Amino acid sequence: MRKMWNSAAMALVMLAFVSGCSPKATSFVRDDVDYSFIRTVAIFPFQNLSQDINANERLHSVFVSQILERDAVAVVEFGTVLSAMSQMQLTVDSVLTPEQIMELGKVMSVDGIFFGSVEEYGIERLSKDRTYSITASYSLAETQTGSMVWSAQTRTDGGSFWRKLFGGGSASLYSVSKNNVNQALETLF
Amino acid sequence: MNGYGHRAHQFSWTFLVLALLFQTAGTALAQAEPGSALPDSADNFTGTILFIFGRPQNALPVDVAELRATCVSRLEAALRGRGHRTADRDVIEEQVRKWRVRGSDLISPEFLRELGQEADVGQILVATLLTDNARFLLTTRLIDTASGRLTFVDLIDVDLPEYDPEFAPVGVPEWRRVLDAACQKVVPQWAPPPVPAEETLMVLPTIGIASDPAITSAAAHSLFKTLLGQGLVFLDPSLAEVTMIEAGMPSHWLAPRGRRLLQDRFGAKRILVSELVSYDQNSPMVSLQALDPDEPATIRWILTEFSMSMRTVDLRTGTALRSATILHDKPPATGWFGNPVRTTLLQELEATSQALWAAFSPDSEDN
Repeated sequence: MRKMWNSAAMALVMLAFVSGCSPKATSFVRDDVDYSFIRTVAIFPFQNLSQDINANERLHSVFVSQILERDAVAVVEFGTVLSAMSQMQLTVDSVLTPEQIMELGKVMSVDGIFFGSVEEYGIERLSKDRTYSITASYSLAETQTGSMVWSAQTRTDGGSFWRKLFGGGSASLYSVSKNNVNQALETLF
Repeated sequence: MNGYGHRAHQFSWTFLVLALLFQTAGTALAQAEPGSALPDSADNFTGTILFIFGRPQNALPVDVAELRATCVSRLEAALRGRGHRTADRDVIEEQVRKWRVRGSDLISPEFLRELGQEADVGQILVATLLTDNARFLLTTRLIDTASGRLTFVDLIDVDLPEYDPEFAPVGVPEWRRVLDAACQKVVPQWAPPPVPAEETLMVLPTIGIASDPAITSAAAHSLFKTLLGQGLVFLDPSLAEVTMIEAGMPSHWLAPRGRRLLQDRFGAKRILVSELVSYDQNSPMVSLQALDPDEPATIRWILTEFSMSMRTVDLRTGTALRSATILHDKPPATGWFGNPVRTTLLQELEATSQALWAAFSPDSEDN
């Protein structure tokens, strides 16, 4: 009888452990930067390395919404960024030098610029379960020196232990995107 | 005469009186039906411009010229039935040609001003008719020419019946009946010009991400309808669009120069920006091409998962002041015996627009 109780307790511990194994963001945050000086930010168009041609625009939209929802910094309208990029002849795939980041900061009157890159986006077909999966990386550059002060890479999917246990399809693409962005932002704000 | 006969006599008199009352009321109602002559209450004219997208297809056995003429005349008749004095069509066409108005989003302030001053047109009804396989989407916006304010928005989508020339009914074609009924529903009652607002709010046309342009336009109209329903006073979105384009900038590029332009030109301090993002994996971002190459491309009027967002941007700083996003991912509701309850995309867009306003409104608890 005692053995049975021990096994049950062990199973519960394992269950709690497995269900708590949610993916986390891998991040880098520079310690020698006072983030309170970053009050106004711009969000650069995201790079798209996935096969879904709309992935970057969709994730960018979610990123903007989540940043605004946090109300931690002022965000300049995306059109301002596009206009500044056109003025400086930059494209989404341009690799920016610190000087260009500083120049962009001046043109847009912002203290920081967020960048993003979508690496995987869509249905994951590796296993039997078809779940949405997103891998993306995000970074923040401050415009006074043009240096990177924060970077995070996250992978989220629409499956979960409970979904597998009790059935049910993948979480929606929007939910997976929102989780991805939030997990990254949690390492910063 | 027995009691029964007396009662029957009473009944017949009562019936006669009731019949007379119904006849009088019926005549009055018939006179008030849209399209018939009513005393004009407007002191200036209401013009109509129509833009047609798509092309006549199987269910629509008519050429574009006839479709245009029919739709404009039906809209004008519906306007007259609601107390408007409709402007001479040639006068409107002349101004449209002069100002090169090529789309419903390209209504310039100068065009509106000249319509008002030269042709005494107080309001202009801008309509778009999208024909897609066996479907119409008719949208209308009523713009006050003096202030550029949007005073009315509506939209309707209608399925066309199957058309077979061999079995077509004699008389008025079915598409004309359908179009006539649709036109009656999307025009407003005449109302006096709006009083000037204390602050000018501008609105940009909705941006669509991964969604069909026709669906984005429907979402935009749905959102504007909700905003007007909530008592918001704002300029027609095409004014901002045209002003920015004429200055050599896409309308959504709210850079310092563009923002200054909108402030100087319209005295606006804030602008509303909205987005429709489709997460539907089954519907690509453009119209689906049917398997048969001879078949015309059709729009897939379904979005299983989409989000709508709206934010107010301060035109002085270019930063967002308030924002809200709403996700629509509800599976179709089921009714009795598991039968799915069919909702149209327009109904879903309208419900999402209202939910978005509820989340965005300053009165909402979240904000």
